[in-house]
Amino acid sequence: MRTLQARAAMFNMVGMALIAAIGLVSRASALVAQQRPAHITVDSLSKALAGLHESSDSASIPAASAFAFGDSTVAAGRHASGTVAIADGALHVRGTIDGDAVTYNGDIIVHQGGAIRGNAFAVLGKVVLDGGTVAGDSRAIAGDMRRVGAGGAAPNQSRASIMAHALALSAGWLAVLVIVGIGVHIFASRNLDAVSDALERGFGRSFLAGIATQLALAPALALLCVGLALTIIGALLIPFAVVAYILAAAGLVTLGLLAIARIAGRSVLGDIDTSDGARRAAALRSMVYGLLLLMLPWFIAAGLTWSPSLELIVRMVAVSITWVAATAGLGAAVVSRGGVRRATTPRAQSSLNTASWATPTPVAGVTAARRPTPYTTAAPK
Amino acid sequence: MSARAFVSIAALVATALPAGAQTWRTIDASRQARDTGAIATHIDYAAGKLDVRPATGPALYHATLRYDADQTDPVTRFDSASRVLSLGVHLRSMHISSGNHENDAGSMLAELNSAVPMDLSLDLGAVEADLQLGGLRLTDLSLRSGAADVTAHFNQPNHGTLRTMTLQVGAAQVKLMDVANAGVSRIVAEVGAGSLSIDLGGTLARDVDITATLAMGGLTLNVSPDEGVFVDERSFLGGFEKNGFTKKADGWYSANYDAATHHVRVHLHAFVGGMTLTGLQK
Repeated sequence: MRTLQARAAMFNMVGMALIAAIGLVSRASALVAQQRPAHITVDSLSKALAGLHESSDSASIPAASAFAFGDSTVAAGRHASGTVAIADGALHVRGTIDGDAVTYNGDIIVHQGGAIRGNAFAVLGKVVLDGGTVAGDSRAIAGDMRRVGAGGAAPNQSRASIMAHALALSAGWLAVLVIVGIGVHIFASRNLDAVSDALERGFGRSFLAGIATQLALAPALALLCVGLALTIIGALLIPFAVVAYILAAAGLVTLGLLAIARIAGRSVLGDIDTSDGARRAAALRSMVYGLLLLMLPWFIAAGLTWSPSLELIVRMVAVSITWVAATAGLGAAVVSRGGVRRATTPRAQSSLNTASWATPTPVAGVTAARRPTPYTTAAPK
Repeated sequence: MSARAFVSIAALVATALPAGAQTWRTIDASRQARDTGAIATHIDYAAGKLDVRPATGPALYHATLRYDADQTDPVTRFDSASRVLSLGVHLRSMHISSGNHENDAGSMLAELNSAVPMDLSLDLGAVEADLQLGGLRLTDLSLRSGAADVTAHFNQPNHGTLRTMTLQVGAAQVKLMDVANAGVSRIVAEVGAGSLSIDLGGTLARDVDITATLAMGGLTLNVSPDEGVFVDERSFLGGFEKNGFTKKADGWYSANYDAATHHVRVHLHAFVGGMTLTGLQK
C-alpha cells in the first residue's frame, strides 16, 4: 500500500515538475526574444522580418536581401529612388528618399532639409524628425519580434508546448466530463441506467431519434418563443425559456454521452455481477474508462500536432466518433424521456405479461397455482 | 494517478501555457498634417485600454499601441486618396488576453488633430476607454460599444458643428460628459442591456433632438434647469418618471418649456428599459 502511495506521489511530483518546466521554458524563450539583437546577419534578419510580414501594416518592408548593413546617410541634395533599407545601423536623411525608408535595429533621423516621400518604418528603432519631413506614415515598432502565425499560434513556439496545450485542452474536457459523470452517477444514476438501457436495446433507433431531435431543436425553440410571445407574461418569460431550453438540451446530450461512455467502458471491462455497492463502483469505473475511450482520438490528435495532415485526419475521426456518440446518446435520452421512463421492448413487455401470473416452479415440483380466469375471479352475483 | 493529481496537473497546464502564447509589441505611429481638409477617422478596438485626446503638435494623428501580435494586427493607416484614417487592432483569433495583469493588457493612445474637420467613429469591444473629445473639430460622431466601459468628455467646446451623435450601446456602460459643448443638434441612442448616461452640461448653443431606443438598458439624461424638456414617449413596460411634466396632445412638457431659450426634445421608445431625467427644473 505504501509502495503504491509512494509511486503515486512520485508520479504527481514528476508531472507537476514537467508542467512547471514547460511554463518556465516558454517564459524564458519570450524574454530572450525581447532582447535587442546584438549582431544581425542576412539569415537572422530574414527570419526576424518573416514575423513582421504577416502584419498588413508591415507589408511594405522589403526582403532581407534588400537591406544594407551599418549606418548610412542620404546626403543633402541627393535623391534616392525606391525603398532605402538599413539593418543594424541608423539612417540619416539629409537629402530626399522618393520611396519608403526602413530600418531594422536602428533609427531613422530626418534632418533639416531631408524628406521621405513614402513611409518611414523603424523596427527596433525610432523615427526622429529633426526638421525634415515624412509625407507618409511614420512607424516605430518595438517589443517581441518572434514570428507569429496567421492562426493565432506562434510557429516558433516549441512543438512540445503546442502539443502540451492541445493535450491540456483534451485533458481539461476529460476532467470536466468525469466530474459531471460522477455527479450524474451519484444524483441521477437511475436516469443514467434508463438511458443506457435504451441505448443497449436499440442503438440504431436511438441514433435516428438523436438526428430527428437535432433537426427539431431549432424549430421547437422558435415555436416555444412564438407560443410565449402570444401573451404579455409569456413574452417576459422568453429569455428564461430560451436559457432553460438550451440547458435542457445540453443536459440531455451530456446524459446520453455519459450513457454511451458507460456502455463503451462496460464492453471493455465486462459485466460484474456482485453486490449492489460493487456494481455501482463498477458502473462508475466503466463510465470513466468509456470517457477515456471517447476522448482517446482527441488525445491522439493532440499528440500529432507535429504533422498537420495526420492531425486533421485524426481530428475528423474524433469529431465523427463524438458526434455519433452524442447523437445516439441524445436520442436515447429523448426516447427514455431523460431517463424517467425505463425502456421496454415489446418482447420484454410480452414476457412480463405472460409470466406475471405464474409462480416459479422448482424441479422437485409443488402444486401449481391456478391461472386466474375472468369466470373464477368475477364477483358472485 | 489520483483524480486530485490529475485535476491539479490540468489546471497547472492551463495556467502555465498562456504566458508563452503572447507576443507583445509596441507600435508608435504618426503622420504630419499636410492640409486641413476633412477626414474620416475609424477607431476599431476590441479589447484593452483606450485613450483618445486632441493632439498637441501639428501631426494629423499620433498613435501608440501595445498589442499581442499572436492575436491581433495593429492598424495605423491613413489613406490619402479617400482621406480615411484607420486606427486600432484587428483580431486574428477570438482569444483575447484577459488583462488581469497590467503587463497582460493591450492599450492604445490616439491623439487626433484638432484643426482638421473630422467624422469620428469608434467601434469598441471589451474596452476601458477614456475619450477626451473636447477641442476637436468633430462633424459627426458614432460610438458603438459591446461590453465597454466608456467615458467621453467634452470639457472644451467642439470647434465645429457636430451634426449627429450616434450611440449604440450593447451591454456596455457609457458616460458622456458636458455634451452641450459638443454643439450637437441630434443624438440617436440605442441601448440594449447596458447603461447610457448623457450629461448635457456645458454651453448649449442650439436645441437638441434625442431619439432613444431602450430595449432593456437604461438612459440617464442630465439637463440644465434652464432648458425646457419635451418627451414623446412610446413605451411598453419601461418609460420615465413624469413628475414635473405636463401632458399635452403630442407628449410631456416640462414646466419651463415655453420660457426656456433652448429645448431638449426626447423621442423615447422603451421596451423594458427606462429613462431617468436629472437636473430638471421642477
